[in-house]
Amino acid sequence: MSAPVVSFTGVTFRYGLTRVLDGVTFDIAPGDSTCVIGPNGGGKTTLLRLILGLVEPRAGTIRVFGEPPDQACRLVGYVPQAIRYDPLFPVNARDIVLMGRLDRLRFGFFTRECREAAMEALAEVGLADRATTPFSDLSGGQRQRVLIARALATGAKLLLLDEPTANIDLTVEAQFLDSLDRLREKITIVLVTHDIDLISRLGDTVLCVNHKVHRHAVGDLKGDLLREIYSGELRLEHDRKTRHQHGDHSSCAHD
Amino acid sequence: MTEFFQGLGEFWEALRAPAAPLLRYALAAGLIASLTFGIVGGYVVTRRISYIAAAIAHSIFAGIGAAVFLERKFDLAWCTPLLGSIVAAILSALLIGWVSLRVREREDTVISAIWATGMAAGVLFLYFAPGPAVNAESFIFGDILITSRADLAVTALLGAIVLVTNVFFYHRLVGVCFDEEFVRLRGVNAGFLYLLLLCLIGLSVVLLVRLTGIILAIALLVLPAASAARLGRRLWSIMIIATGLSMLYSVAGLAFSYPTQTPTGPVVVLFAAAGYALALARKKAGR
Repeated sequence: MSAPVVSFTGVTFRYGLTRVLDGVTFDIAPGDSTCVIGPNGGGKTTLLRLILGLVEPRAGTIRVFGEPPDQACRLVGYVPQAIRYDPLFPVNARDIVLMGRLDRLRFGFFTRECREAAMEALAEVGLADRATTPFSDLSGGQRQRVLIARALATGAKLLLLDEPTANIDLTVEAQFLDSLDRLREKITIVLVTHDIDLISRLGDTVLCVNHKVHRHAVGDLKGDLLREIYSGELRLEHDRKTRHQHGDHSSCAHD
Repeated sequence: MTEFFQGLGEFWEALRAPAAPLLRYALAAGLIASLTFGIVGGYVVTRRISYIAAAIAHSIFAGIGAAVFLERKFDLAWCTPLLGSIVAAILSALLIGWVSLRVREREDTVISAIWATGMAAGVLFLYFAPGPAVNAESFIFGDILITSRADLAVTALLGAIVLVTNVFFYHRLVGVCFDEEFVRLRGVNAGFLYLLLLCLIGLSVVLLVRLTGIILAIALLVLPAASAARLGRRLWSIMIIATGLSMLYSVAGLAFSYPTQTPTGPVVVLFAAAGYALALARKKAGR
């Protein structure tokens, strides 16, 4: 059996006196697509930040590709929500993707290899024809895909996505999911989401995070199980397409 | 109107007069410094940190005051206001950057403190400086027409430093301005780059204070770049357009203020403000 891509052993994390993660132990296998779900404040984003080495645990051990997270971060591509960026920032799609190669500049300039890698990454997410389009002119879904391309251009072996469909409309969501579908065959993916459609389509494994972590196969994820673990606290976006067709535009529903 | 055009003729003659180089120095300083304003203004506007540039500008007054005080008290001829302003600009840039990187939640408080403390310290240094009273007006409102050959050399040197640094660090600085956290995750020293950016802003502000004074400095850093941001779609193009606009405003300001005998700095700033208003109107008309 190959070594895990991510390994948490007895990891505890607190912000001040607030307990966020408590003695968490789990592994993520290579090539696995793992969806991280859980209530707000349960520790989902902290989990990603621990994998990235942006914060350090109070106790326990984290290994990413067998190394401490801060030493493995070059192998990890991080895709935050596109909404956090200034949409008017004067860069085009290719400029953003090239940021994934900032650690490989030569005398302050991108090499031809960097530019080719950026174009390949854009092609991978189906946006090669949008390379010179300003970031401000891209749709929410396209921006999100540009950020994925930026993560791919790093040469990452592990892709972390934080609520990738949270701010994109349904018309572009299908294209976005197609991009992710292609990627999961080549790369290990961990994504934080509230979108149950996304979980059923992309996930192999689900990590239910609420200070503790429970690992399940996607097929085992049932409403009863979720209620049992989280006492009804968990909120998931459920079947957005169906609700959209019925004119219900609320973003969340209790599972 | 006729008098004004007559004055423009005099301006042109004065530029060509071999015996009176000051106007030529002023024009050259304005043109060279415009390159700095265009480059650094691009970062300031897109990163939305004009308030930091304003704080650095005001902190420079402490450096100017300290330099005058030390020069007179201890007879240190090398301790010039320009040197004082460079030291103060770099120190305040590093302090603001350190606070921003380490204790982000107190950033606005520290920026305000540096802003006010710089002005207060400057006033007190000048008050206690031995000798005749110092005319602080030229520092507060600027006077490009007293540019010397040495000032011009320093302006060119600072401009060259900003230009070379920008060429070498452009992609990394753009990365830091767009997404500092991502740059850090790539193993690039984002903290150093942010401090470098603030130091570049500090050096530009030193040149600006010479031209427009402390109070109006921020206007010439922000307005041409903000106008350019409405015309250009990428940061490097915004920098080029902003440099061109800064040059235009500097020449127009000097050409207008010389025959009308009005202060150059405020005239330059008003030209820049008019340019920004036009850029806003053009964008709205284009929609």
